[in-house]
Amino acid sequence: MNYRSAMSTIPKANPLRVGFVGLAANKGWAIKSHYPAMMQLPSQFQITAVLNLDLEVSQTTIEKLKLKHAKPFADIVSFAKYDQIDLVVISVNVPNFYKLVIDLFKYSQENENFKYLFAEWSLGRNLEEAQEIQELASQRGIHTVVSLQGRKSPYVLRAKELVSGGYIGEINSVEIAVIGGFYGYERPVKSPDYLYELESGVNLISVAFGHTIDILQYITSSYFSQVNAMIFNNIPTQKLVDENGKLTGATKPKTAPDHLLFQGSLTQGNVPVSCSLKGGTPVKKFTKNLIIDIHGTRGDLKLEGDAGFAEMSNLVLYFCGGKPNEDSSTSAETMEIYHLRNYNSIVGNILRLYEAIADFHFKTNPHSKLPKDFARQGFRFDGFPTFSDALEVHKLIDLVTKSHKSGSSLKVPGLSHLSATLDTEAPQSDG
Amino acid sequence: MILSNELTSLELSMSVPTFNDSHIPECLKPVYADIKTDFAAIYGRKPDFVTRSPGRVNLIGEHIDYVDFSVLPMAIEMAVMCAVRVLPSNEIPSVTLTNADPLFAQRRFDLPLNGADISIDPSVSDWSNYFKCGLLVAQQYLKKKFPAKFEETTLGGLEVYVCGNVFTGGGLSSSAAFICAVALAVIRANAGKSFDVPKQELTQITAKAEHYVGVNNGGMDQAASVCGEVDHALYVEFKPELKATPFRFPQLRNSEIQFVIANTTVVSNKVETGPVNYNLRVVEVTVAANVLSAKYGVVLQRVGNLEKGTLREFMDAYYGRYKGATQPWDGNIEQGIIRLNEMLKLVDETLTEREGYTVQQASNAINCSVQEFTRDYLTNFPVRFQVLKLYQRAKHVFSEALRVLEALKLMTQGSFTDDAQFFDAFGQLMNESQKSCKELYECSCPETDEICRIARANGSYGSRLTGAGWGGCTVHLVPQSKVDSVRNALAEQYYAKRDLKGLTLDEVVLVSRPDLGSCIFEVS
Repeated sequence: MNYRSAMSTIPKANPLRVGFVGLAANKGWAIKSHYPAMMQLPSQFQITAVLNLDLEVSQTTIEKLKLKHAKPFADIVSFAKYDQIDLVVISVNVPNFYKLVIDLFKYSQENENFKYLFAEWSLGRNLEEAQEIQELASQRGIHTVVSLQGRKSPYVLRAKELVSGGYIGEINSVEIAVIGGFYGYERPVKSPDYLYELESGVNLISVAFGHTIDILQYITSSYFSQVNAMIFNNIPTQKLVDENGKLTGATKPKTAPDHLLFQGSLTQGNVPVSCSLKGGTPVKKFTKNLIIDIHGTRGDLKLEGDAGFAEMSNLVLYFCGGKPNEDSSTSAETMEIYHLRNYNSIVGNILRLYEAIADFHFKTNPHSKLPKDFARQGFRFDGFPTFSDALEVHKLIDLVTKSHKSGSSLKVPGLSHLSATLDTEAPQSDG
Repeated sequence: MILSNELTSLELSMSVPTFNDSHIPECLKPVYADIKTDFAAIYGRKPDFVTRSPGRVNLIGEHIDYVDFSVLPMAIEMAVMCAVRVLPSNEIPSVTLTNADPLFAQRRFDLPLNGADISIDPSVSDWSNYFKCGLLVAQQYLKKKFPAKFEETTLGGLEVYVCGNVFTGGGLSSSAAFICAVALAVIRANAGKSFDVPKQELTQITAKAEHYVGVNNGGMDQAASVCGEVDHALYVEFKPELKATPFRFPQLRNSEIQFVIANTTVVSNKVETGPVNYNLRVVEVTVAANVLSAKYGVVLQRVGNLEKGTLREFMDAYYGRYKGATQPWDGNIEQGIIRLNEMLKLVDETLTEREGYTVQQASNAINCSVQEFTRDYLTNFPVRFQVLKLYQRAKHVFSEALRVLEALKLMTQGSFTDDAQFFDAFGQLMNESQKSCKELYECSCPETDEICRIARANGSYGSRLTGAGWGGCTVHLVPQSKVDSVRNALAEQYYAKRDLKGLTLDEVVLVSRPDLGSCIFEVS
C-alpha cells in the first residue's frame, strides 16, 4: 500500500511548466493518458506550450482543453527556444521521434529552463538512434523519463515486493506468453502503415516484448546474461477489417514480425526464462493473452491479463507461497489474489510516472531517497525509468535480432558494469 | 431506500435540512463560526455553504450489513464538515481540498471538461480518494437527475475546507461521514440552493461509494450518517429494501440510557488492511453461503457485494425449498428468530472444517474447480489468507443477526418490570456480540478486550467493539449514574498507560446522544 495522505502534493514552488509535443484534443495516445493524468496534478504540472505539425491542431487543443497558460506552436525551432518550458513531453510516432529530439536539443541550447525530457517508449527506431539520444541527453545534463510505465503498475510493484521480500524463495524458472495485438492475420483499415514496416522499429518486438521483458527484469531485479531468439514472419499479407471487425476484402503487405520465440537466462541465479509472443488475431481460446509465470522454491507468482499489454492493462496477480524464514513444513501456504476492479490502468500507470517525477522534483516524498543526480532507476522502487533504463531494453532487443540472424545464443555484453550498479534497495514493507 | 416514520411520533423530514445563518441549532453555532473563519483565512473569501455529516456508533449488529441483515446504529455528535465555495463557471473547473488536520495534506485536481468520470487509484491510500468517491457518486446522480445539464459538461470547480472530529480509523465511520458530506456538497454546489436533496437518494448513492477505493462495505454507515435524528437511534434494514427507521430509546423509570464510546486509539484503516481483514471477511461469508447452497441444492441470486449471493439469501432459498415459504423473509421478528436458529443448526452440521478451508477444500465443497473458485470469489478485491474460516464466520453472522432482532424487541418494548431488566438484557446481547466478534469473527484486538473488561467491572452492562473492529472504538451501555465511574476507571486503568498522541480524555471517551444526520448551512 502506497501511503500518500500526509504527503504534500501542492508544492510551495511553481508547477513544472510542460511543453507538450503531440497533444491533440481529438486523437492520439496523449489525450487518453498523459492529459487526464496531468489533470489530476495541476499544482505540479501546467501545460505552457503545445506543439503539433499543424498550428491549427495546437490552437484547437488549447481552446478545447482550456489550457489558458499554453502557447501554440507548429515548428520545433521556436518551441525549443521558448523559455517557459521546464519539462518537454514527447508523444509522437516513434519513426518521427529521432529527428524531433535531435532538433529539440539543437535549438534549445540557449534555453536554460529545459530540465526534463519525458519520451514515450521506444527511443527511436533502433539501438543506434536510442544510444545517440541518450548520449545527447546525458551530455546536456537533463533528467530523462521514458514511458516504461509498466514499472509503475500496482501489480508489477506488488509482484516486485513479494519477490524481493523472499516470499517465493529463489526463482527457479519463468514463462511468459504475450499476444501483441496488430500482427495477426487481420489488421484494422485505419491502422497506420508504419506499424507494419520492419524499418519503423515499432513492432511486436519493440512494443510487446520490450515492455514485458522490462517488467520481468524489474520484478526480478535482474538483467539477462544470455539470450537466444527466433523471429518469424509467417503472415506477409494481412486482411483488412473495418471498425466492426468485418473483412473488407482488401489486403496489405506486412514486413514486421508476427511471432517471437525468446529464451534466456537471468544473471541472478542463472534463471531460465522462456517467452512466446504471438502477433495477434486470432486470439487464444483457452489461455489468457498475457501471462508472466514465475516459479520459486517457496512459491509461485503469476500475472495475468486479458489484453496483451502488461504496461497498460488491468491485471490479476496470483501468489501462493510462504513467508521467508518460516518453517514451510508446518505452516499452511499463504494465498494472495491481488486485483483492483476499478483501477484505470491506461491513465493510472502514467499518472504514477508523473507523481514520481513530481516527488523527485519537489522533494515531496519523504520516503524517497533518490540522489540529486539520479540518472537511472535500475531496480529501485522509487524514482522513474530514464533513458538509461530504456537503453538496456534497446540493447536486449538488438541482441534478439542479432541472435535470430546468426542463429546462435549470445552473451549479453557490458554486464560487469551493470551488476556493479544494480541500483537495488531494500524491499518495501509488505504491510 | 425508504425512510420510515413508523417507530416514532416525530414527523421526520424527508429531505436533508438546510439552516440559514439565523436559525442554526445552538450547539452547532461555535463550530459553524470557526469553519467559516478558517475557510476565509485559507481561501481569502467566505464559503457559499457548509455541509455536515455525522459519524455513527453501531449499538449491535456487526459485520452483517454486507450480508443484508439489519443493524442498530445511531448518528453521533462527532461529524465531518465541508465548507465550500463554488468557482465561477468561466474558471477552470478545479477542485482544491484543504483539511484542518495536517495529516491530510492539501490536494488539487482538475475535473474533466466533458463531464467524464474522474479516475480513482484504489492502490494508493490518499484522503482525496474518499473525496473523489463522494464526487463521483454525486456526479452520477446529477447526470441522472438533470441529464440535459450534466450529461456532457463538467461540474463546477470547488474550493473546499474539510474539518472533522470523527476519529479516522476509529470505527465511527469517518469515511462514510466524509463521503456523505462531500456528495451532499457536490449536489448542492451544482444543483443549486433551491434543490432539496432527498435523504433517501443521498443514502442510496453513497451506500456503495467506498467500493471505488476498494472497501467492500455494506450501507449501514451512510444510512446512519444521512438519516440520523436527534435522540433517535436507527433500525437499518437492507432487504427487501434499504430502509432506515428512527426510534427513541425506551423511557426507564429511574435511569437514563447512555452509550459511552471509548477509543482504543489503535488505528484501523479498512482500505489498508482490507486483504487480510475486512474484504477477506466479505469473501468468507460469501463462500460460506455458497457452500451451504451447494450442500442443500439451492440456487442463489447474483446479489450481494460479490454478486454471488449472501447468507441471508441462502436462508430464503432454503426456506423456499424445504419449509414451504413462498416469500423471502420480510423482516418479521418472530419469524426471523425461528429461521436464524434453524440456520445456526445447518452451519453446525454443514461447515465441518473447523480449522478452516483451504482453496482446494472450499472448491470441493462448492463443486467447482480451483480456477473457477478463484475467479468467482477471489478476484473482486485483493485478498490474502491461509485458510477460509467458513464455520466461524457464518456462525457469527447468523447469531449476530439474531441478537439484533432481540435487541430491537427490547428497544421497542413499552415497559420493563424494572430498569435493570432492560440493562441486563440489552447488556448481555452486547457482551455476546463482543464474544462472537472476538472468537468467531476475529475482528477484536487485545486493547478492545481490555477496555471492555474494565468498563464491565465499573458499571457497564454491555461492552463491545463498534464498527469494523481490529482496533478503533468500543461502545458501552451505561446508566447515566455510572458514566463517571466507567470513564474514571478507563482513565486510570487503560489510558494512563498509553500515549494519547495529544488527545485529552474527553476526546477519547465520548458520551454522545443520538444526533442529527446530514445537513446544509447556507452562508448569507
